[in-house]
Amino acid sequence: MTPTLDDRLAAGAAGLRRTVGAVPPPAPPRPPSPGPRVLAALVLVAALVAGAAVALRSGGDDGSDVAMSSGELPTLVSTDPPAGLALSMAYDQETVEDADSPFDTLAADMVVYGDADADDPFAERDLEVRTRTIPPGGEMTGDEDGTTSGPVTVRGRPGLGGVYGDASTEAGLRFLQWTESDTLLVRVASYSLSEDELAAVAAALVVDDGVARLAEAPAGVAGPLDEVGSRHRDDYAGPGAPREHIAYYVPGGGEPTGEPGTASAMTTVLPGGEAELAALRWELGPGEAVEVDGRDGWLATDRLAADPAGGDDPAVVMSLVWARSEGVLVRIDTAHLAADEVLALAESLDVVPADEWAGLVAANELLAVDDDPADELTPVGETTVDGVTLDD
Amino acid sequence: MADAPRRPPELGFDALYRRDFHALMALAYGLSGSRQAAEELVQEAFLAAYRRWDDIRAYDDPGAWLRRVVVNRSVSGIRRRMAEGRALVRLGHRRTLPDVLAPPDEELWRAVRALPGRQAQVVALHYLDDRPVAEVAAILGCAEGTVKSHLSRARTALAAALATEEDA
Repeated sequence: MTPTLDDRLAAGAAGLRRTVGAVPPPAPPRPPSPGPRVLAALVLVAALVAGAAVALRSGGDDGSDVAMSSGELPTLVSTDPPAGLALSMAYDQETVEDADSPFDTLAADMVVYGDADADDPFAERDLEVRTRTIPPGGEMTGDEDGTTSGPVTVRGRPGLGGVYGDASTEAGLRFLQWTESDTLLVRVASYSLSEDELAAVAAALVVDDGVARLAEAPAGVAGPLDEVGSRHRDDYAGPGAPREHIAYYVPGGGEPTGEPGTASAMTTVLPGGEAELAALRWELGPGEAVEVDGRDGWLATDRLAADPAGGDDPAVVMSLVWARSEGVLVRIDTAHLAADEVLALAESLDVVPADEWAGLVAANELLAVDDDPADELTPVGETTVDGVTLDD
Repeated sequence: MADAPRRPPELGFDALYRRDFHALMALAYGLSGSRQAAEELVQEAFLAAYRRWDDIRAYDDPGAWLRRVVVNRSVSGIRRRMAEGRALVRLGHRRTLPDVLAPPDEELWRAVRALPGRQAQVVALHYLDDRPVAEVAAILGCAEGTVKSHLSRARTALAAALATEEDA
């Protein structure tokens, strides 16, 4: 029997409420006190950027992280961004804003496997095992940007399997995902293993203390699958976790418009050593080895079928990661930039003294508080589907 | 002598946030169709409320003000794209695991989003936020008759789009 519209609306509303009910609320927003208007803030940003550039030019350029104090990460800004980009905003962010966030991959434990003896450990065989906690009763569906082959049973538990489609940033990645328990989600994923090999890997996993690991390559799965990298959520979430320093660049600077097709770049300084770099490198996906200031880096290119900012046009998204110094990783994410521009941006980064950085962050907050909610109270219009304007 | 009607006890900002976060997320998600944009839109609305908290707290129903901001922003294409853009910046292109939180009956919500903006808002507030017509009218700042007209037209359009029967 076909459900009535009221049945459908009631069920759809209940389902959506249930879905968002599983989302843990982030901390309530806490802006600074209201400040001056946008123009004043932009002038301040420009002045601070200019001041920072002068300070940088007067300092050394040996990659030493002079602003870094104990337990902190260096604050990096480009003195000469390519492609007409200019600093738009700078801010500090908890590496994981909410340890239970279902949306943040840093809130998961991740172990990657490949050939530990190869220059490119993931060139022939690669495997990721990712474990994260989920809200009880979370409903597992397909990735909204990916493709799934449908429900499967893994280790006796309900799961999904498939290959991400070309609309996803993980295009071509084959995966199996299942709920190991009501609150634990595990995914095994690979660009090189077959569906049967992934199933064998899943069956061989050992889940200990909430983290899934592969002790050795199971029978029928050609190795080597050595553990070459890992990332653990406790290093990024919770007390003592350092704050990432993020700088965002758009053409000409100013407030980002979010318009599709616009070039943009974001630099993120985050903690990590060799294991975390290897994990991040796998996460970025297929790419090429590059050199940044004499250090090994990895440049990955995603050719997306649709612009991540919206719209239907294709977009090229590039990500670059390298270890700038011991315990310090830098990641650059860009849209609509060429590889040489991404590398130029990487090599133009230098340390801003902590007080200069604090000024940039403060200026960004001034930009944010200019948004006048009264502007948003204008009705969106009274025109109906058939073009008739309804009277009260 | 009968007591004068009393205002409900005033909620603090954090209490309001805890009480209304999920309801606003549902509205924003249903109307925008984007989980990331919904999170950003709700955060923006609370941020706006926080900045004007001295005024907002004096309203009879601060939650109604928040709903008005959220539903207006959620149906605005430009606002939605900006929210998605900011969410992208915030997430830093981080890859997410396959979604465990996608809403059921996406076909229904896609049809709601295809409605004219005001009709979509009325449907979301009435069915998703469970608000009677009078409260929907108060939130949107229009007459109850207008809400009823939008609701009627929306239901007709939805019944046609979903090939289902419109109830009496």
